Amino acid sequence: MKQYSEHNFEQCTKCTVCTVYCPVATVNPLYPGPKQAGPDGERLRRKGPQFFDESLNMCLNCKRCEVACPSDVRIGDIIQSARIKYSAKKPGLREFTLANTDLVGSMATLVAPVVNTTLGLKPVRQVVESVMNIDHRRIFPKYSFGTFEGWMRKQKKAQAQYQKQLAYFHGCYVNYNNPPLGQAFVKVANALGYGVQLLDKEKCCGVALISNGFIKKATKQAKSNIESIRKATKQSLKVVATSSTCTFTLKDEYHHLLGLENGDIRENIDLAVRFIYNLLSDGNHTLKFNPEAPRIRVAYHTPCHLERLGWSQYSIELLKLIPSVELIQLESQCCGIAGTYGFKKENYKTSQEIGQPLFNAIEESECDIVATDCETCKWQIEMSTSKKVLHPIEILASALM
Amino acid sequence: MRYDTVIIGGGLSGLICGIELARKGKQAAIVATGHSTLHFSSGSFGLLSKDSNGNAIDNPLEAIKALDANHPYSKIGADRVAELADVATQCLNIAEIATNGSTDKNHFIATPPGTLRCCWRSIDGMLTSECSNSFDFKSVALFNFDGFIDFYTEFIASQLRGFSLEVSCHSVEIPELVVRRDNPTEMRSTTIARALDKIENIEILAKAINDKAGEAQVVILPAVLGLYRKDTQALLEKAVNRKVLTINTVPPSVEGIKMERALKSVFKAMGGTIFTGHTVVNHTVEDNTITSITTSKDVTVSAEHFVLATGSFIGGGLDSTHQEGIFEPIFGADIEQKEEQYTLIDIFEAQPFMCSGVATDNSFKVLKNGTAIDNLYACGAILSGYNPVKEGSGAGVAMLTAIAVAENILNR
Repeated sequence: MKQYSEHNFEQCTKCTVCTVYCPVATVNPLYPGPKQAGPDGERLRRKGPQFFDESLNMCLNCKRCEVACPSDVRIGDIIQSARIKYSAKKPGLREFTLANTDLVGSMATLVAPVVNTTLGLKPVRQVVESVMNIDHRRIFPKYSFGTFEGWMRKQKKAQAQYQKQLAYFHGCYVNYNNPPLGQAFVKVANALGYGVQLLDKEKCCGVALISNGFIKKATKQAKSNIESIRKATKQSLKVVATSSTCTFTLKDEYHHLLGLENGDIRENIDLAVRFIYNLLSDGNHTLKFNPEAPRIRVAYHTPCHLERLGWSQYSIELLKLIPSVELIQLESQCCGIAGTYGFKKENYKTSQEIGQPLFNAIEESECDIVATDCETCKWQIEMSTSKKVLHPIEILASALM
Repeated sequence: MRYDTVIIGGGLSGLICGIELARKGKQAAIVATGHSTLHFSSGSFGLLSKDSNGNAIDNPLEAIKALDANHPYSKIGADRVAELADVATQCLNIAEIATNGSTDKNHFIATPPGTLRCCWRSIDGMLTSECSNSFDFKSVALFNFDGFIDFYTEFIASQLRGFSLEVSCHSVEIPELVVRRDNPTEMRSTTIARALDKIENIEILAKAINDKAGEAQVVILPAVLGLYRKDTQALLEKAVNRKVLTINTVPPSVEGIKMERALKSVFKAMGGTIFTGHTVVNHTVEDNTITSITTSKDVTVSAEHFVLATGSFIGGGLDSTHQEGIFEPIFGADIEQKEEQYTLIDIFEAQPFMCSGVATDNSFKVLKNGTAIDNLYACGAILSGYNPVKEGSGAGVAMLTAIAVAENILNR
């Protein structure tokens, strides 16, 4: 759409459509809503920082306002940029622990059984709440004993056998918590004739650093990732990620929120489901499905950042291709967790209230499994419903011969 | 990705076209930038409401016969309007959008400032009348919610008194909404509607009505009775033991939002696909045929047929600059602009630019450089040859041309 002003907020026609679709404003009356917090407030903030309101920290950066906007206003970006620029709230120990997924993950995976057991204990969670202000009801994702990167090192030779190659951006979650998802991706990529390698150096995409106010560190990691992806791009290696939020951060947030130049590599970053769907549609690639695979009823949930990327249809179409899957499409709505947002004690109630309609829809769907491309949606749904959650790639991999 | 038909635009016209195609078994996809102008819906639908002198039209079917050859209804064929109007009503029924009205006789609906406006159909439960200056009841109690600034109670009351009604004005406090008033600009129709989705708030409202409405025969409320619940009005009527009717508010329009959701959900249930947040930025052409479109989200979709239902200026389907004048941004379609001058100084005059739009042949195929593109159709507000505001025909043209386009595609 045409930009009418150098200031994106001036595209706003005050139509109020965004306020209808903000999940926070829906449940939390103290949040001023995306129009007020975004374009309206921005006009004032240009006068001076005294017009910044700390209630903007209630925004969970789901970007559903941007998807709803008929005038192409980057409302979520305006709010997040204002937080970065003006918020006086300094991140503390809690923010440090939640945001540094790389550091915490690499320590936790060394002693995973101990960490998992300890964090599972109620008294420990009570202590965590009183010391860290992380809600005691929140269930932490389990850490894996050994990392995905460690597993990949052992696969190097086998993967190098494939003529066609791609670089996999696995993300912290696959590395420290869920290597089986990465392994499933490798299996599918191999079945399509692609060998999988890792980037020269992969750092956490930094989404949690950005949302918790560690901008300097996020920028440093982003620069390192951009460099690694640039190197892969020069070698004509497609960079593919399974996580929708990592993909979104690498493609859009680096430029929009951190002001980094990534235009030359943006198109070379792809989401796993899109990459695979496009391969299968080109007429030269097929997958062999196991005819014995058990029939499962799968309910697909669209993560907010995938909605913003505009690519949820690739997940849906890919799941439809699996003969053993009966697919139910859940109405696209926020699950409420928003990465580290829902872990914070003060956000727990908002987080669960936002997710309630989704949880109800999942229970009513009578599905066997929920599918989604986002790891934090998975934690939230597994904690708040009776269902197990898998990534579409895991479901695809398990249906193959 | 490939579909039988791709519809660009997710407003009333695009959705109706999609539903018509999907229910005949076609694979249809809708590509939309954001949410639609249904968020500004009045809760009523005009087929043809006003003549060239601004007077209310009694029988739109008769009046349509006298329209210019270039009017969208004339392209459909005046003799087919009644039939397509029935199909449009069927579409609303399938989506469980309850409306009243008949195609050969217009009626009147109360507007947000309390005047009466001529229309073809209106959402069930809104304040309407068979004639332009009276109601078949004598007294009403008009209620607003404390702190809600998008409903002008006294203004409406003075208008209604002009129709010989006895009117009393009241206000209700919903405790849950008190804190919302800290941000008065965000105390919107949808905020109240969400509160009224809860049974405890409906009970509070019913009690306030019973306490304050006295002997009034009818209770009138802003049209904010819930976003998801369908039984609010019925529950209230039972609790207050009289008729409860609504008048639309300033946008966002709760009735329009419910309509959009209902139409989308029917379209999806029929197998339709919706891409929201996608603006079409590119397309490919072969032999005067559109083969694919690419969106701002780097998604390429191909299809046999394409429908341009992107709306007029407010929907983004038409645009203008000082240098280029009016243009259609996606395909660069021919624009029809009758008069040299776009605007008139008197803002209440019928503005000439409102009649401008995309040029089509009689089957609504889009013209480019004077030639019809073989598989690209246009429907709804983007069309030229009519003035939706002056005529009160926006919704009628949106729905009927959508159905005509769907038929033309199906008949190929």
